[in-house]
Amino acid sequence: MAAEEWQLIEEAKNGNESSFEALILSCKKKAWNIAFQYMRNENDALDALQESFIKIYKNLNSFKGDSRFDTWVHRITVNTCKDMLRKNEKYKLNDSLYTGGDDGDYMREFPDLEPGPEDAVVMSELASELLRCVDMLPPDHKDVIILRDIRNLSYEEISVILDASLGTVKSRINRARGNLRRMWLEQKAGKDV
Amino acid sequence: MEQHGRKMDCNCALELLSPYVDDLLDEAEAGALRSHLDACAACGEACAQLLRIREALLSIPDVPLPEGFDERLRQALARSSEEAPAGAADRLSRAAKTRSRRNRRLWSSAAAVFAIGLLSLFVYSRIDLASFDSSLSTGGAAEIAPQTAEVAQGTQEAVAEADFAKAADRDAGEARIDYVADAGAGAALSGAEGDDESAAADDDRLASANASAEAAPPEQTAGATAEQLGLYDRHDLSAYPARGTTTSAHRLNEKSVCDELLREKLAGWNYELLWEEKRDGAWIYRVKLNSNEAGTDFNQEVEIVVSAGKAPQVYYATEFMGF
Repeated sequence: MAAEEWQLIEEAKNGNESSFEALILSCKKKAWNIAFQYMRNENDALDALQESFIKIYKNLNSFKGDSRFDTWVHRITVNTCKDMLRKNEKYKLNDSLYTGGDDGDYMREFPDLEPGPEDAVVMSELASELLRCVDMLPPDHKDVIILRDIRNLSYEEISVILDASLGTVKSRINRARGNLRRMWLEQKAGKDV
Repeated sequence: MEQHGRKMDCNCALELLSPYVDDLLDEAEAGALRSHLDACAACGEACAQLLRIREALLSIPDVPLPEGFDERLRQALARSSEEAPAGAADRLSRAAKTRSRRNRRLWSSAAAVFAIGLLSLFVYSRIDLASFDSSLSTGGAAEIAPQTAEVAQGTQEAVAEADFAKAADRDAGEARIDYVADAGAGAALSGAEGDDESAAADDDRLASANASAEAAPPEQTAGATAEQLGLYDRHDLSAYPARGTTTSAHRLNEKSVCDELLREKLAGWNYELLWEEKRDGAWIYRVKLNSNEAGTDFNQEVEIVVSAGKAPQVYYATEFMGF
């Protein structure tokens, strides 16, 4: 870690807010985009980001330098987002896990193709479709798709952020991609009918 | 999986697609995979789709951070600094609060035990009087029974509070508990690491409590004679059925509450519990659903979160396709 960064960390630990602002300057945008991909709307993402940085500020003493500082920031951001999502009402379990048909043909519900927050930026139609599928993934698959395929973080960084072994990360990415591909193909098949 | 020298099969190829896309395969593996992809249209198509997906997701541009966030953060930090001083003073303050919380829990546990003792004396003295009063009718016993039931309920709650305080100390950071998949309807749900025996004992008590409930639920014994009342030891909480009892009985073991809710949610399913872990006050269960009540095969994994606390409930689940 650069000496300047350590200096800023020490100053921030002693309550120097300007040093803290300088410290987070380089990782603020990445953390914001991670929060945005998790929360999927600007207001919630801003709340998550603010809460993350407050936690980072208050817990600077717990940063031991065994990872890069920005990786540690991303880890706190991801955990804060996941905590907020868990508390969100819309994730409450319905009475039935599946939507059942008369003949027991259980279908997964796919998201409606309504304009979403990603329309704030210009992206391909395919990317928009995929993001809606990503929203429907289980949490541990969503994690790795956001961090690897959207944010392009390395396997090592993801391992630190998710506090999982490299082997687990590899396996999870493999399954998540398979799941996402199947989900996307099913959605396409549904549209084409 | 090692099939460099032989022809690769599709299962192996599909497993290698993801690391291949991320350039993680060695040259031999990558070469073998490329040969298979050239020869197999289905796997070739799967690889092309994966590459397309990755390219599309990587192309999503960054969202600009809204203006004004810096000022917003500055104000939030200032507010939080006013509420809790930073640095050493803050650490001391937090340590003092932690000690104070721990002391409060110890005192409340001690107070609960003292209250249990007093209530026990009171209950036993009331029962003794009732049993030696030959003029007691069934109605008389019924008069006493609700009162003793209330006292017993209070005893229950006092015990539950003491144990709940202990359980609260175990909160957060409990390691994930992995189970060997057990074929058949519902692998046993056991307690947390380091607490297996007490949790299993609680499960046994709940099971025997259910059986006791069918034989003679407390509501019926309220109208019984004093002699029949003696069949129930009001300090043996297993005499009370798990279902229908207030959460105070369940507070004896927060984990047992969550296990019970999970069992209720999955009643009728043939499932295997793969692992469970405690996180942020909730229990997270990874369950493999083998088949439903009607016998329809699923072979899918779900993740179910059961929140503990005063109003435990199952509130979150995910599903994803099978392997």
